[in-house]
Amino acid sequence: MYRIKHWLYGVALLGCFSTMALAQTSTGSVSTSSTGSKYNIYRTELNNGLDVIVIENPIVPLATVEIDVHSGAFVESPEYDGLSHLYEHMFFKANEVIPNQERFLERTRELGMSWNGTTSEERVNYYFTLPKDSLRQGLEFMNAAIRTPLFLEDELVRERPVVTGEYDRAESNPFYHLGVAVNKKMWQKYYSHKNVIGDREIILTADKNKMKTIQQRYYVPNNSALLVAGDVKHEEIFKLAENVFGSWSRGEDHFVKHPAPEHPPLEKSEVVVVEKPVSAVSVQIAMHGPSVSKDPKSTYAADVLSFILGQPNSKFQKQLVDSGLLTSASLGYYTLDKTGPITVFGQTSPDKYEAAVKAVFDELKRFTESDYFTDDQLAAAKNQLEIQERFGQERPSNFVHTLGFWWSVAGLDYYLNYVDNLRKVSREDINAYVRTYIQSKPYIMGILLSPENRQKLSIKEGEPL
Amino acid sequence: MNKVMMPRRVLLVMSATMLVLMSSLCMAATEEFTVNGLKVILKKNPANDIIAANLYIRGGVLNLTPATAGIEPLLFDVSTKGTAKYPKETINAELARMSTQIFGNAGRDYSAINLLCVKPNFEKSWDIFADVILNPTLDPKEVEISREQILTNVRQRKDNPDVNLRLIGDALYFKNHPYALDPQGTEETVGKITVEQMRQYLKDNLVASKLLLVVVGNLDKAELQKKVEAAFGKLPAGNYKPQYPAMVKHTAADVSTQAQQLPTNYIIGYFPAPSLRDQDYYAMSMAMSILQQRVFEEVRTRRNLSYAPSAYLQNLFANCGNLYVTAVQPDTTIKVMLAEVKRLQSVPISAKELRDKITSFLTGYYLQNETNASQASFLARFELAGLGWRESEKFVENMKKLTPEQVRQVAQKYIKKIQFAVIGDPAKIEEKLFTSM
Repeated sequence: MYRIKHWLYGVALLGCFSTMALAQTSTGSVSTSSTGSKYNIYRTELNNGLDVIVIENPIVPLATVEIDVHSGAFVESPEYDGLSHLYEHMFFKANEVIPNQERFLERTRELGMSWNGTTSEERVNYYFTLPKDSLRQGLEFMNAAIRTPLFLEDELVRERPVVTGEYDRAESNPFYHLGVAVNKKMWQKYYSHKNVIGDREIILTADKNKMKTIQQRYYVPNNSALLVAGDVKHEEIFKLAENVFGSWSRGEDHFVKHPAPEHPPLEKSEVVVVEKPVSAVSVQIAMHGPSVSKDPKSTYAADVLSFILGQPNSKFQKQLVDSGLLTSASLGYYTLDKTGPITVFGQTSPDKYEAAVKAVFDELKRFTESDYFTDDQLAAAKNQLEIQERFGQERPSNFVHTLGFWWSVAGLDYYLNYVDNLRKVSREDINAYVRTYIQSKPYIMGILLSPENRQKLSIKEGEPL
Repeated sequence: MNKVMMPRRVLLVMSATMLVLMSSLCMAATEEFTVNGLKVILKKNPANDIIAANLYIRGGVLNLTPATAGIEPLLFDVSTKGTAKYPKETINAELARMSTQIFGNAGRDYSAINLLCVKPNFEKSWDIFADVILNPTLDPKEVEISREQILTNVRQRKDNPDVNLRLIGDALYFKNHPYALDPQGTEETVGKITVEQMRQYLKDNLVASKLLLVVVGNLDKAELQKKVEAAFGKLPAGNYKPQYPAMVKHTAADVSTQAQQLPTNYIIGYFPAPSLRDQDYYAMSMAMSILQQRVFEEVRTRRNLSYAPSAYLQNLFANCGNLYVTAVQPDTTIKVMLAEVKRLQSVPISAKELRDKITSFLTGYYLQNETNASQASFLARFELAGLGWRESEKFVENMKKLTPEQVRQVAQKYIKKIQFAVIGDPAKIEEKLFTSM
């Protein structure tokens, strides 16, 4: 599930900035392929293929305008490693309406905007929140930025050190290195397709041609969605969307001829060790999980199991945490289309390390035992997931990001039917998920600890003993 | 394509409209009542079925001693591990079944125990919430498990340079001030806190005059009042009088550098700032917001010296502001940031800049009030500052009264004698520069 990503991976990179205004001639008419009001969510599709999704929530007189693009690390071959993220930064600079970034920022202030953008594995989004009275200006501003970026050489060159500054900050965090070490082993020859922050050298040498290539391939209406959330009415937004974005020309579907690669299964288990000056011993065990388009049923089972194991009364927590072996332990699945990772994460002290790791692997073997979790725990996990969604929907300026993520990764229907599908998850579904993706499957175990503790524990890299 | 600019007149009209809406947001159905000396603020929000209830304990670090720093996170955590009425297994099962969240926060000025649930589960959730606060078992075995978890977190703060930077900065800036006590505690203090100390803390602090309950959700006053009376009606009234720590004073600028090999340098500067209780607060909030915008544009956009420059105001009773940046060229970067401070102190901002910022503040205000929990926090902030929750409705009105000259004056008055903390390469830090303001 989406939140799992933030818990461990933290790879959604906050990028730059947003927007400016532009008048748009309108052509054509709204093609309403479908509308629905589940969770007060409405959608339509313009003739050019742009999905328009509206979340009506008048809790405060604001509107959040967001564009989601089905792009991100998953489209990046090694020579483009990190350029989805650099592109995201360039979005907030000069375009055919706004001459430079200074003017861009000034316009955001005039409109009272709060804005940002993020890049992750399978989604790039740009958003700003502004007073609802300025919605039209906000849509026009977004339109100019998404359709007409100039990628001025001077702005591109000057943005590179800003992005590498983000890189420097990531590298200063010990957990970043644990994630990189595990991911390189997990994704092997297609590592760049999972490496959101990218390769420093690729970022420093990126030019306008590469930016234009990304734009032509992915920044087309039929690969994007416009989301508007807040104190708005969907009928009005549909009309405005057509008026402002209707003339955006449909592009070629790049994925037809150039599909992103599928990740081959792991061939063997491996241990990687990262030495940093840290106090605890952190253990991350990662496996290849389901792809949401290929095995959606397992993604629901994965989320339910993760919530069962997160309950303080679960056997997992009792055996690992209440026993004192670990100070925290969790299992998570990060829903993605191109192989979502399953991750067990735990922290312990050096003196308990060996017993803790043994206990974790013992627990993995027990997941399919008939009494590993009770029917009440199964029901509670489903309730938890459902109520968590209600909490998430409370804040429209944030819920719009969640919905945009699902649109890009799994399709809007996945989210709209999510709770119903969770309710259908059975014990057998969970066992099938565990047997298919976890038990007896190759894994990558990353260990983050201090050099002193490594020496004390004599931990070796390579194949596990 | 034609460029569309928003006419100035429209902006002004919009601000007025927003102001009216903002007042209605704050005031719509907020009311207060007292139960045996315990003040309760209830904001009815029929728009959703989520209920947020926060019980605040006034005093913050003034309730602590050097030996008890960190007692609240430990106490709050272990309190959810079993109560007189609800054994651990039952609490865990019930909270999981209802997806109800009960958790504590320990701050420098006040602490809170928070409840978040959906209305169909409010009855049971409230009962557990009240029992967690009033009757925790504090089983020694559970205390040790919680203690070890908290100790791991406390130790790990030093592993992350961003977190560690603030620890070093806080220690430098708050030296000899009540805020020198860290509400999260230290490895030493958390390691020694006893069950007896936790029980004494509850006895000393669970007095009605020291508490504030703020609830936001679709509840009626009579319904809530009955529950509060049943749960907290017998608490001793006490005679707590709010205390507000004095503003931190330093006689000279200073810099403290911790050497560490990192890809970049982490820098934070502290200076005094007026609190919400002070009439300069609104001008200072505006000054810091303008400064944030300017350092972002100058440091990141124009000179590309850093990904993350910022300037911001904390929200403490003994308030302070911060300059923050990570940079591979710290001297060059700080020189630019200090130049922006000087410009703010010497040249009044333009009328347009001020007007635009007020619009931005409105957006920010609403973003802070999207959820029931955040609305509860916003009301509490004003009430706990001794101003009364109704003052929160004047927030934007007070902003709109500001003049460019007021903003310049507060920048000049407060941003000085900056105390810098740095983690990185000491050879790149010119002490004279860092202590020049």
